[in-house]
Amino acid sequence: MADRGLQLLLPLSARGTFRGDEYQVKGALPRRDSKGTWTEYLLQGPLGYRWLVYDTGHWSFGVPVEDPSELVIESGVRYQGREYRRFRSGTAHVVDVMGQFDWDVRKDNYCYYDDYISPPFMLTREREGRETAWTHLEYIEPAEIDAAFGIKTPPRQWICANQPNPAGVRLRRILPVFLIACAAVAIIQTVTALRARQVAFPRAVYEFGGSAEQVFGPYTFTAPRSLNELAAAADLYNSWAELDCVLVNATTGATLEFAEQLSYYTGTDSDGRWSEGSGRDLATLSTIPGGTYNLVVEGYGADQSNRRLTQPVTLELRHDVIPWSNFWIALLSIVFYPAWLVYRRRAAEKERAESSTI
Amino acid sequence: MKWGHWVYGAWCAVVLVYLWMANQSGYSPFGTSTSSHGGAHGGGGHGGGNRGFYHK
Repeated sequence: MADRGLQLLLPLSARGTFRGDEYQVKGALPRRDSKGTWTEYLLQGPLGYRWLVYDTGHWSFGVPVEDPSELVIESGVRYQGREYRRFRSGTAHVVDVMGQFDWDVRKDNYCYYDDYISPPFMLTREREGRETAWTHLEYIEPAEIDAAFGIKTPPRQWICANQPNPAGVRLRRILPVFLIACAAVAIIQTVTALRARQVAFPRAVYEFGGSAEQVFGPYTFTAPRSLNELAAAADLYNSWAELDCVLVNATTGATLEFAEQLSYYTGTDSDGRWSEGSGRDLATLSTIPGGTYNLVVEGYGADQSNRRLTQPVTLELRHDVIPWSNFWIALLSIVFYPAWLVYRRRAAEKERAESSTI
Repeated sequence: MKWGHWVYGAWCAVVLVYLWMANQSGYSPFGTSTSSHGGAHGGGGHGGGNRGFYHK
C-alpha cells in the first residue's frame, strides 16, 4: 500500500455525490503507524475540505473541528454533548503524497495522534510541531461510498475503532420484537395457568401383596383436552419398581399405555458413599380428551436379592396441570437469537479492544 | 442481514402460535399422548426394570 503506483480505491479527481453534496477527490495520503496502514482522501466540497479515511474495508467521513474550544478534554473528550473515550495513540507517518494539497505535506512527515471514540463517531487529534488539528469523523457504511463514487470496497476484515458494533445494531433492531414476544409468552402462559383446572385426585396405593393388576378410578377429566400427570412414589432401598399403566376411557375404551419406573440404589465404595436413582417418577399424559377414565396398573419390583418388593407405591393423578415445558421451550426459542447477538457483540468489542493502545 | 429482524419477528410469531396451540390442547413434547404407545407395553415389557439387578 505504501508504494507509488498504489491502486487507490478512490481515483484522484473522481467525483461523487455524498449526502446531498458533490465532492471531488483532490489528494490521497497513505499513512502508517505501528499497527498498519490506511489512506486519507482529501475531498473538495461545497463547504470546504473534507476527509474520507479508508482502513481495511472501512470508511469514515472527517470534518475538521473549526472551533477546538468546543472540546472538553479530560480523560476522554466531550464534544457536542457526546462523550468520547480515548482509544489509541501513536505516530502516523506519511507514506506517500498523491494529488494536490494546499499545505505543505511531504513523504515521511509524521505526527502524533490520539483517537477518541464514540461509535459511530471518532475524534482525532494530530500534533505536528506546534500545530494541533482536530478532526471529527463519522463511520460510513461502505455501500454508501460505493454508491456515491461507483466503486467496490473490499470486504471488511475486522471491526474498526468507530464502527458501530454490528451485533449491537442488530440487537437494538430486534429489541422491540423481543420484548413484545416475551410479554406475549408471559401473557399466554398466565392465561393458561389461570384456566388450568389443576384437579388433584385422591391418592391411590398400589400394593405388591395384592393382585398383580389393580384398577383405580374412575377419574373424570373435565377439560376437553388436557395435560395430566401421574406421580408415583415408593420408599425404595436398593430396589426397583416398575408400574405398567393403562389409562382406559370408560366410555370409548380408548387406552393410553405408559410406565412408571422407580429405582434407588445406594452403597459405599472407595470414593465413599454413593446413591443413584429415586423412589419417585412422574408420567406426563399429553392431549388427553375429556371423559371418565380408569387407571389399570400392573406392578413389578424386587430388591437386590431378587425378592419381591413389599413397599407400596403411592399414585397421585393430577388433571389439567399447567404445561410449563411449552413455556420454557417458547422462551428459549425467543431468547436464543438475542443471546447469540449479545455474545457476538461482546466478541466484537473484544476484537475492537485488541486494536486499542490504551 | 438487514431483514434479520423480520425473520426473527416471524420466528417469534411461530413460537407464540405454537405456545398458544400447545397450551390449549394440553400438549407437552415430553408427554405420552393417546396417539402413541409408550412405556412398558410398547417398549419391551418390564425388562427395563431389571436395570436394578445389574447395577454396580
